[in-house]
Amino acid sequence: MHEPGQPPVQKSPIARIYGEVVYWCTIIASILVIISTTCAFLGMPGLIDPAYLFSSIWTGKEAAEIWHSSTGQLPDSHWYLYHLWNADSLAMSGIVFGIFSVVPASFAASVIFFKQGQKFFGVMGILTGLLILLPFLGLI
Amino acid sequence: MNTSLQEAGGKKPVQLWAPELTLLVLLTLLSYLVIAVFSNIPDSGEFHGGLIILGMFGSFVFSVLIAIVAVLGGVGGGVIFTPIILGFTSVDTLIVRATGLVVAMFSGLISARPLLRRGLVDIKLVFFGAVPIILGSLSGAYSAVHLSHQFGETGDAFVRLSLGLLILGIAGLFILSGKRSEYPVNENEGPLAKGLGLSGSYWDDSLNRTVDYKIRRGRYGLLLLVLVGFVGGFFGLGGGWSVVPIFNLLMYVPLKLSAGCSGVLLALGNAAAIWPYIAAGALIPLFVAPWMLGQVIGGIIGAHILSIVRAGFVRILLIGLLLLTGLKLIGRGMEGVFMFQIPFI
Repeated sequence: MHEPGQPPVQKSPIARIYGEVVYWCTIIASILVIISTTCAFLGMPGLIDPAYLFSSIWTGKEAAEIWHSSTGQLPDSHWYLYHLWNADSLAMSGIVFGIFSVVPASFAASVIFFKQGQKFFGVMGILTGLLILLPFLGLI
Repeated sequence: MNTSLQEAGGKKPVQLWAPELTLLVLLTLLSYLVIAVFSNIPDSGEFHGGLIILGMFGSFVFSVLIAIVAVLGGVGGGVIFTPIILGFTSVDTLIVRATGLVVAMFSGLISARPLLRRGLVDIKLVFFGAVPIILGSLSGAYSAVHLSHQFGETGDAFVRLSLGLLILGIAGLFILSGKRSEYPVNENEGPLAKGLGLSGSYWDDSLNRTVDYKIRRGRYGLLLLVLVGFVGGFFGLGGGWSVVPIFNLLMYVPLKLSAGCSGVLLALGNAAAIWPYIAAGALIPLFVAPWMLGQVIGGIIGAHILSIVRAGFVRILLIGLLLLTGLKLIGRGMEGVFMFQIPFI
């Protein structure tokens, strides 16, 4: 341990950029989810009727059954992009936006790792981003 | 509401509470007020419209409480949410696990910046552990979806039973966690840590000085993180409960830094693990919304009151909660697997 009064630990620019990207994306995601939830309960059209949705979930219906009853089919991973202006899609966009925030944050961190000559961690940052991006794109 | 901490070096205060967080809390409360006053949700089946709104608001409040206990207990929200909902409600296991991953993830996402600002996350350690935990999480999530489709209700009963046993194990881990070392002493840096430059130092507010740490057993840590990722992805728990012991007890990372890295790391693992659940239709946004918002706001409140609450009390509460839900899950799992009714469960 260092003794008191020694120079402080330098704040890492990598940590800073990662934290900022994730934080602001989460705030935006939360605001999108708040707005869409309010709109859903005030009558904005959605894919699943909120009354049916909540009663079905709490009585133990399976996800596939709920989707089939409401839309006639199980949605694909990015169903919210096809009908962006309805309450369910807006809420899902918000959640996905928050989840996705770690991808640009990881890539941004890896760029700084490379600039600092820390190649191993730069590669790890890219791999991290790719491993989240691939299931997002439905490629694995 | 203004919490400030000393930034590295004790020169400049770091603001933990920000106007955007106040805005978020107010917007959420306003949203639920508007819904309560103006929405006209019709009755559905045995559920009265008002009950549906009350249920949604109750989910939000419960999620806030979970997040506060989780932050104070140093775990992700998923480890409390998933067993309680699986043990005490009839909600489909796949929906619970998908929601559990979001619950665990968003508390990790919102707390990343304050933790990073306070220097309580070693970003190199995070990216060191990210790839194995993501690989494990993805495998766990794909296995969960596959098994759910293959085995239906019997599979659900097995999930409850095995999760119950796991939760009792986690409770045991907490009971034994007195062995955790806040500042583990290790003079011999491992070859992997040395080669990668993993060891480092951080500023500790309580000591008012920097603390150096030397890491070892990195290879074993990587292997265990794959396993933790798998369990977290399969059960929708996240992995905060086990990442901390791996970093602290196995790799000699100081406790505070282990807890900080754990939150950021499990958000990365869950960001990958959620996609198989989304592809299976198990993430239903309007159901997830109150739980997610509760985690964000509870996470902020938890970080805010962290310094004024007695950690010992929270630990006992958490252990009691885990023991209760573990036993309940085992009971319900056994009922499903062996087709009999256990009275009073």
